Amino acid sequence: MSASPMGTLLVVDDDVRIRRAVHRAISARGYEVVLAATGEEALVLAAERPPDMVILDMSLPGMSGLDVCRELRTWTQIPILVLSVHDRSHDKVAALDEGADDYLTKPFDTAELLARIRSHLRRAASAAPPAPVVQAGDVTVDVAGRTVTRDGEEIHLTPTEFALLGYLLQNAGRVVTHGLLLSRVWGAAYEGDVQTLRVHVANLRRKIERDPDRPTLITTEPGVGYRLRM
Amino acid sequence: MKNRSRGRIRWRGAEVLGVSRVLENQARKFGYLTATLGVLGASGLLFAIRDTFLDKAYVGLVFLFVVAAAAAIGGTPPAVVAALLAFICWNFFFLSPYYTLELADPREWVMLSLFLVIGLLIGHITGRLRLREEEAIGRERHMASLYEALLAAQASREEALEEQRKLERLAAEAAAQQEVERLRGTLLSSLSHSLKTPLAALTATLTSLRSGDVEWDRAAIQEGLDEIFEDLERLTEHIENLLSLAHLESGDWKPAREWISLREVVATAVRPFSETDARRIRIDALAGNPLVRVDLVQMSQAVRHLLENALSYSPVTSLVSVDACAGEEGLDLWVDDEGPGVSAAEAELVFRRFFRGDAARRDGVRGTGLGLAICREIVVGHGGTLDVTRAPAGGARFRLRLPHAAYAFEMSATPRVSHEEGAA
Repeated sequence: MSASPMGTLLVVDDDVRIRRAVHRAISARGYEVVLAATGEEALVLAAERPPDMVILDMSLPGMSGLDVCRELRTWTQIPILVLSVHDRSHDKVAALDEGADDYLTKPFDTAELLARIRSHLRRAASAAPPAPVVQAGDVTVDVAGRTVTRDGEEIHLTPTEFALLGYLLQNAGRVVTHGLLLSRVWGAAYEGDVQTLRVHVANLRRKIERDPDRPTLITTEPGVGYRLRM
Repeated sequence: MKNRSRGRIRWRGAEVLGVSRVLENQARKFGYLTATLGVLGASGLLFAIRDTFLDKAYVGLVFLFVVAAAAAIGGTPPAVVAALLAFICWNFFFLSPYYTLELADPREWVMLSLFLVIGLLIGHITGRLRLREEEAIGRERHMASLYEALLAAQASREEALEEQRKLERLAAEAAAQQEVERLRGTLLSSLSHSLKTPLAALTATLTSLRSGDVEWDRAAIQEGLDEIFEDLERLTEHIENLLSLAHLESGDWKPAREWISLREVVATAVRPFSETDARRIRIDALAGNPLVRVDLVQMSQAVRHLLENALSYSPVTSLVSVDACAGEEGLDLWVDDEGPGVSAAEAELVFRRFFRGDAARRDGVRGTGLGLAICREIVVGHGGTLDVTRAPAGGARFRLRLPHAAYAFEMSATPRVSHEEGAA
């Protein structure tokens, strides 16, 4: 599909300096880079030549980053990483709810950006059929057998905790918003019930994390949601 | 202002009394009119039927009715007039010999006298009743006018107080404005200092690296880049802190509170630290990990600033510990360090923006001077307090106190929890 064996990235940002800096950083690692300054341009370029991943700024002139994200999701599941200016931006959560995979807050470290790109491209490449047994840290999850073990010892999970862990595993590496987790695990009626979610995540962490005070498997994205790291 | 309104009240009171007197005079006039016309009218009517079917007993009853009516309308004097007039009319027109005041039957004198006595009694009793009633009404009116005067006096006192308060407020505002002006001066100088220092370092490193007159070796270039990165981090942190503070102060970053475990707040605060720093942080029992009602983003940021502060102002090998305790006044969360502590003189100053303590200047500790100010702003926004005392081990203890409404130990004490395993 793409000219580069590493993959093609579409970078959408209205600031020429950011485009240039990102371009310099990622093309040096062997990725092919396509640049767009507006959302409209990005959609045209993406349709002409589907990229392997999109890096999308949220505050664009004209068509917003959120609109671009929504539009892209009507026809492709390629990883989308959104860039937002501020920690507290609601766009970020909205974009993640619309199917974006991850976010970075400006200013960001290009090393961090590259790490995210690698992780999402790897995930997308191996996405095909979900493995029956998944290893997350030192915890082994047998999805079909519905058992979780650590060091050969079985960890008992309630059905809700298993469903929660299962959904996070399906989206391993992605940021899953509170709303999305609640509506997928509990049902649409629970979308606003973040407290219920917190209680179950705390219980789940107590069971699967080595140190629940410093979780390494299920990390909190403050004000946004959770991410399962593998 | 005060005098004028009091005068107005007195005048209004007089007006009320005057009106009542006028009404009283009018009632009396009506009483006399009733007495005269009543007796004469009744006499006329009775006279018309005197020789056909009049029973003499009726005459007395009719006249008594007139007397009672006059008494009811006009009080005692009209009743007396009515009684006397009726006495004469009765004798003159209805007792033989007619048209004289003489009586044929002496027993009729007894009857007439009794009538007169009864008439006068009715007049007297009714009159007294009326008097009582008028007194009651008068008292009531008097009370009403007094009450009104009282209200008016109170209103005018409040007006005066309000005016005084307004003046005080204006004075306070003026003082605050002056303080703002003074602070703006120091703020601008601190701001330009703390922004320009990393910028100057950046410019120096970059310009020396890019100048073509020296052939830098790889190690020197790497060192320069590391320095540039550090300066950038400093600058970024500073700008982020300034923005946070501005958002908090302008009130457009309101806490979005939710019930969350204290442990999660602390864990979220610890996560951004490097592994080296995180190893120095010890999280204790946290009072059994209660639920707190806070904005996770804000409160974890507040705790992070406290941790950052503790880490920077204590020896690099020492521990920083976080613990909590619920007491009578609320839930205390504290961060203890093994540094030199904060002197009593600086205990309040450290929460001022851009304030750098003696220790900071002496030991060249890097910091923006905004962390604790942001922390306090966040804690106050949650209805809590933040202060610094001495830790049992000797260092500083920054203590963050949340009010009772902002924490709970029982899951059932908080709303909106359902689901199988329920309690945490």
